[in-house]
Amino acid sequence: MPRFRSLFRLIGREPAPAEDVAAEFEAHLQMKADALVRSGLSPEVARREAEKRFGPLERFAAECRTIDLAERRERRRREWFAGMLQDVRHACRALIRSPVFTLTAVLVLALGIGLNATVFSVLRGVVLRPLPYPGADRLIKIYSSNPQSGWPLFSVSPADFYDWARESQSFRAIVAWSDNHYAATGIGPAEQVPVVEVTGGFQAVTGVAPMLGRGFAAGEFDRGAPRVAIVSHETWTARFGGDAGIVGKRWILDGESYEIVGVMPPRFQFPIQTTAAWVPFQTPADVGSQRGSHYLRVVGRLTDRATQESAESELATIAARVAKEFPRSSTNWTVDLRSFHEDTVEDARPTLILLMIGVGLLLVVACANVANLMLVRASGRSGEVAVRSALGAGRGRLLWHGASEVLVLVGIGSLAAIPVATFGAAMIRRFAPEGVPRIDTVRLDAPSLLFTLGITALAALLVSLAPARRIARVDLRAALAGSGGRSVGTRRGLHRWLVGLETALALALLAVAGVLVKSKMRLEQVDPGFDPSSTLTASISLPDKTYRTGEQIAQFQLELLRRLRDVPGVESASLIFGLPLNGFGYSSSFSIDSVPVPDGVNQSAQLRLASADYFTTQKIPIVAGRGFTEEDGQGGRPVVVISESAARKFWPDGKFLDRFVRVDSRPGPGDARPQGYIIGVAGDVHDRGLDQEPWAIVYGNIETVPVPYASLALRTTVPPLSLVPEVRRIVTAMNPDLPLSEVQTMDALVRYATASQRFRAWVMGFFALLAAALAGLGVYGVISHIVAQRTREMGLRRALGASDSQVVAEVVRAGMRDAALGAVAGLGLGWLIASNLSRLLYQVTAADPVVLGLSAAGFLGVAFAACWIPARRATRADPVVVLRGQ
Amino acid sequence: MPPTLDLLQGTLDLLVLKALSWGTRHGYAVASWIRDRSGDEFLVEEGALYPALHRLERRGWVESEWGLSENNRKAKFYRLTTMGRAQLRAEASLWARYVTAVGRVLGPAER
Repeated sequence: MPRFRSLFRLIGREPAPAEDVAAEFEAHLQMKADALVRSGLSPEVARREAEKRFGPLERFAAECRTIDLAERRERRRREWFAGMLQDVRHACRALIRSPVFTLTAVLVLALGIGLNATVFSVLRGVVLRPLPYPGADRLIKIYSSNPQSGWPLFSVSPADFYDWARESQSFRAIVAWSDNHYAATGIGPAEQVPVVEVTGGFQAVTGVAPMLGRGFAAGEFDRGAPRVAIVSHETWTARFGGDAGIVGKRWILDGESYEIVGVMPPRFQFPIQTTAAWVPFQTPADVGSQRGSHYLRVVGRLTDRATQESAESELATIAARVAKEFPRSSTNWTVDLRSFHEDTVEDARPTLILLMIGVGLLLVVACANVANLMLVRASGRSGEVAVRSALGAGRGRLLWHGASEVLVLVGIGSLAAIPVATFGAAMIRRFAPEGVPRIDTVRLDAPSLLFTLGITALAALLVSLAPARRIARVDLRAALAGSGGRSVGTRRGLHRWLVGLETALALALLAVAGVLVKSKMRLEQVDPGFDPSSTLTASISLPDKTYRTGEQIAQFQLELLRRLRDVPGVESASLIFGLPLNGFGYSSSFSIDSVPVPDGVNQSAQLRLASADYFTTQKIPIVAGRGFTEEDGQGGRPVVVISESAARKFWPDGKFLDRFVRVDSRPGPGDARPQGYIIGVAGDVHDRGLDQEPWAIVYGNIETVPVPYASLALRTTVPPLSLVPEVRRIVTAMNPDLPLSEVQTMDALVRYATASQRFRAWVMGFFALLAAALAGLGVYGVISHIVAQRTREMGLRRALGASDSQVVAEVVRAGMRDAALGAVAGLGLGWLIASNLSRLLYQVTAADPVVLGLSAAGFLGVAFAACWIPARRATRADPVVVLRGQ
Repeated sequence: MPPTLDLLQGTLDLLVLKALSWGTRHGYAVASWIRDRSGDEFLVEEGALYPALHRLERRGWVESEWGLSENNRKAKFYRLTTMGRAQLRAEASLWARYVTAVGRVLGPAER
């Protein structure tokens, strides 16, 4: 019996179940009728009788059809799976047979996919993931702002905060905090620990309860209440050894004894991960008089009814009322609200999006590269494809067969990508600039892996497009008639598109990286206004329990400076309140010659307090008048120094000498205000960042206005950090409970200031070089392939008298034409990306001709080499051998 | 017409498998064979055979192919598969136990 069904299947057509069943039933009825006719019935009667005995035909037919359809679906699925498995096995065998190709492709894919997963996991961990509080999307950061003075997003004064907390209906709870460093003694070594003073809303806003002990009680926020502290999980484990009986024990912070009442759960953070403990912010006695001192940060949790907009307008109304009531301190002050999440992550976002774009382009280059390799392979196998097609393999089946190899490659590639991604994430954690929020929590977690899976699928799609197109277009007759793959070799269009694409994307990346590198170099060339070399700094903060008065503070500090000056290797020692590039800002209003400043006018400058040697130590030039001397600190005529910017801003006529400046705020414990006659002008210092305009600064004398918190600055004749033990010894000798914190060199501070730029430049540079290398490899592969296919033709031409250089030139020209076209597109794309980066760039534009020119020249050089090497190789072959060989 | 027996649930499948155990047959031949062997005892609408055949095919116990009948008519032929043969053995022995058990219950009480 002929095996009909197999035949049907081969030509891709099977009878529909309906026809099949109808035919079967009809056959039955006819045979039955035949038998009845043989027993003597007339044909008509026989037919009727046959139908009667058959029963309800339509019902049976419907039953059969249902069964058959189900059967067919199952069978198709089984066959599909079997075929797929077979194809995968086939693909594996084929890949094992060409290990160099396989290894290259897997490596390229692993890099592309792995780096994508890395950058995505960082983007997710740092930017996308919600903050670690229940209902974190209801948390709103609240700033004071004074648009007239150009102070958006300003800290909040205690008086304003308490008004908002009392009057606002928009928030379920609202918390203010102030960051501090306390000297921790008692249990464990003396060290400076980051402690946050929080107001009563702390627990209600964060929505997280302590895992041990209790939260703060209402009375503990009152002035003079017994001191209590809640410690972080990290502090609990690292400093207290995870002592289960920690609650109730005492801890000395800044010389005061605190009872530990609670331990927060692991991974709790507020406002940042490194906070070691939280203590109640005790309501100042004279809250009302502190309306002008803005030093609190505020976050509120919205009620279910309120929105950010409604809350903002409500607080603005309160601020307007306050401004009317207290015009001196509050005119022009209003509020600015933004989501806490946005506020936390916004600085990190542009960099990470940039890296995501970079790594995405890199993946496309990697895919194009593998697609190219696949094409080269496929062209050697067009004969095989044609045979399979002629034997009845459907187009879908052929496509799948081609895709199975891609699938296997991408599968292995994505497995290999996991270590790449893990390593990459570790590198980023390690080398990320300071201040990236939550960077320490970046892990390759489930969503990142899912994302990787997604890009893997995308990669597979991109890579399989090329071979699939080829299969879809394969010309049966030509492929079967021709010897092997040569006839298909004429279709080089796709190759050339891929080369163009790779070139374009690689060059775009190079251009962007180039702009970033130039920006970084520009920034590093900025003169900070001081000489950061050989300068050691450390901050020291004197607990107000022991050092109550200005005299006590000054006495300690001057004695410390005196002892430090005697240390061998110290050239000069000084104190400064407000070390440059240290994130310090202390703005204050001031009056000139005791003329009252009219309401609503903001005459203010940054206040710094310096000891006599400060300008010499930091090598900040005195551009007019003189700096402080020892005598200035010993009573007599009070004096101040101003910065160049301050001189320009407030005394455009240049008549600043001997004008009397009186700063309104009192930074120290006593009543002493920084004030005095201007005796000199110091050079500008890039105080808040090398890419920022210098501030207008008023320098007071720290000896006449002692402050408990100040930084040491020592100019040394030996490597600065080698003096740290000696400095520590001297401080401990004077007060054993006094820790030294933020010990660093000025060089390091300058380095931190350029860290973001450096990080971006390095990472994008790495991506760009990788992409360029891949693209170069791609060009090389394609040209090699083309040359291999044209060896015969080239041999013939050389036999006919063409010189080697003519032949080489022709190949190189063909390859370079595609590369050059790609380069033009790439420069355009690079410019497009870079022009959206202006926020990240310093003194360089997206269309920097030097950068674009260098990247283009560099990359075209690589492309040239990639064309020239294979072309050159072709000319080495002996024409006679080549011609005979075919 | 004397009273005839209604087929018990699932019994038709067993009969069909048995009918095919003698070789490849088309549906009409299966129907005739069952009728002849049962001595016309079963009241079977002949068409009811076909859903059974298609069901058995779906389970992989029989397979079918179009061919020509003895009087040169196009017909669909069914054949037992190895799996179908095993199934027949299993169901037949199950049936025998069933019959014995029912017989014991209904038969004269043993003394």
